[in-house]
Amino acid sequence: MRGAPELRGSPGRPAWLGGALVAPALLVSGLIIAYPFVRTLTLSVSDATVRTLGSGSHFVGFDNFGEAASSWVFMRSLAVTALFAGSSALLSVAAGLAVALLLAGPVRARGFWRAVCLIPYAAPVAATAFAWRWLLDYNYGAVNTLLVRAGLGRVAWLTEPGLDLAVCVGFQVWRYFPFAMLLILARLRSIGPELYEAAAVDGAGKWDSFRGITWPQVAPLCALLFLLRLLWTFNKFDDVFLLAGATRWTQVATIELYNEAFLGTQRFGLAAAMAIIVLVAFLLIALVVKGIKVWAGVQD
Amino acid sequence: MVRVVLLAGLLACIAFPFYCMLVTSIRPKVAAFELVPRDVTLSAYGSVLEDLRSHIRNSFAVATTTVALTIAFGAAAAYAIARFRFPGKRAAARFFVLVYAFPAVLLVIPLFVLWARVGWVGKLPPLVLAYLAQTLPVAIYLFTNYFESQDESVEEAALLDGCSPLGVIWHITIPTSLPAVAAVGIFTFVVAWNEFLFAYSLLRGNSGADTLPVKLYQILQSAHFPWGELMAASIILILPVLVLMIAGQRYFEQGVVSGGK
Repeated sequence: MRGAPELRGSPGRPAWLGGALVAPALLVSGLIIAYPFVRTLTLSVSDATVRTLGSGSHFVGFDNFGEAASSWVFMRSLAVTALFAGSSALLSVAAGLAVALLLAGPVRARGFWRAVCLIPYAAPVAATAFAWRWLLDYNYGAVNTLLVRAGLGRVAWLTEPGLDLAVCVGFQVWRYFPFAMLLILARLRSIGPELYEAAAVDGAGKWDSFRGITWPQVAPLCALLFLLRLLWTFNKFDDVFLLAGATRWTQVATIELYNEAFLGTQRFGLAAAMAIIVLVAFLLIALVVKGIKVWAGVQD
Repeated sequence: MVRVVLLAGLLACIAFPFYCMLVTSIRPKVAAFELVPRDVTLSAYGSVLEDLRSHIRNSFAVATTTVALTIAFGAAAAYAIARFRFPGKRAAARFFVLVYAFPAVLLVIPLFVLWARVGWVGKLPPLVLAYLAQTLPVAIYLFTNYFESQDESVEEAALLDGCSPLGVIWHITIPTSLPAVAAVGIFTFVVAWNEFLFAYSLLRGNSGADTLPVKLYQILQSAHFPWGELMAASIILILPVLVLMIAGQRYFEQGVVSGGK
């Protein structure tokens, strides 16, 4: 577009200087994002492994995608991912809403409570995942010790099929509820008290005013937060990897494709094809998020 | 009353893992878990600090370099987006959103291939580049919002008085943007300090370069590691983050709300 306003600089702020100021950030991001993106595409149609790094790889068409689609382990990992991400997102938003409702009431030192809630989220995942491992250790862990003392048996929290996945979901809820809580709390505090006062005058109970006043105000935000959590949990790697490793039930898609790329013969081609399949799923969720953002009236 | 009980329950849920971590780290020799430790010793910290010194230094070097470059590049780019007009500006702004959204685990494979080709695998400085891709978009978002909320008239006046555009940035914009610098700095430090995946993948084959989280994972992988020392190391890993959070809670929350993943 000729003469579009964004093309013209002004005397004190020449366009070239603007360009120069963005350049370093653009360059770094381009190198780290744009190049790998293109490289993922070219890797996914090649037979690249760790051995072909020096010699060069060959074009193999869509063989890698065919292999990924017929790989039972990869398909299972996608199912595990859906279960893991879906339940983690749902429960962390629910927990965030519950804590936000608790903190929106007459609570002293609200800032202190917000800080306390943020600790699981801010603390390094390596440290918290290992603390959970220790907590749930079969022989010496705190939880089993207390269970035995209470006359109950030990539980194999991190090795029992299915239970290990539930523990991972619990870890996600513990770590990520603050994210939902902060945003929901801010929204709750913006609801005028006169609405609740009027409802109380009309004889509405707590549940009535939650359903009639609070929920309609926060429901779109909760939907948005659910999808955002789904989006970020869907491609989480370190949380599950550090807490449970890759058992049958906890081998999420990201761990499976990571293993293809970094274990054994390091099949970068196959791993890249899996990465693209995960990315497509990611983009589909991202599209829905965009739609929900419009509905929820939230700006980017 | 119900509220007090619920708050106590919340505190217990959040604090229990940290409490166990602390108790275990000050026990002489871990045999069984004790809710209230009887004998207390700091010997685990002594040996862990000795073993981990170089890894703590690695982590600090990477995190502080990432913070410095994120603030410099991020503020510059955001300033251009907020104040300048130039071709491709909107496309650049949109590209940064895209960069933010791209899943890290999908980057690590092609990056490893690239790193292997140019001989960067196992080297610490290039790791900063990988971190910048995670931190720059959030920094640009925070800085742009901040610059756009600031009154432009002082800068305009300085420009009319013959101050150069860069002089305006240095003398006016930066001194008035310290809150944004704090928010970006704290958030970036925490992200870089905590990061595991890139460090674990791109530092392969050179255990001397391991950052602290990677070193902790290596300890966990060894056959008969002492829980007491691992928990002491975890406490050391958490401490800087905790200090920053307490010192700059408001700024940290800004980072979480706009850049939390």
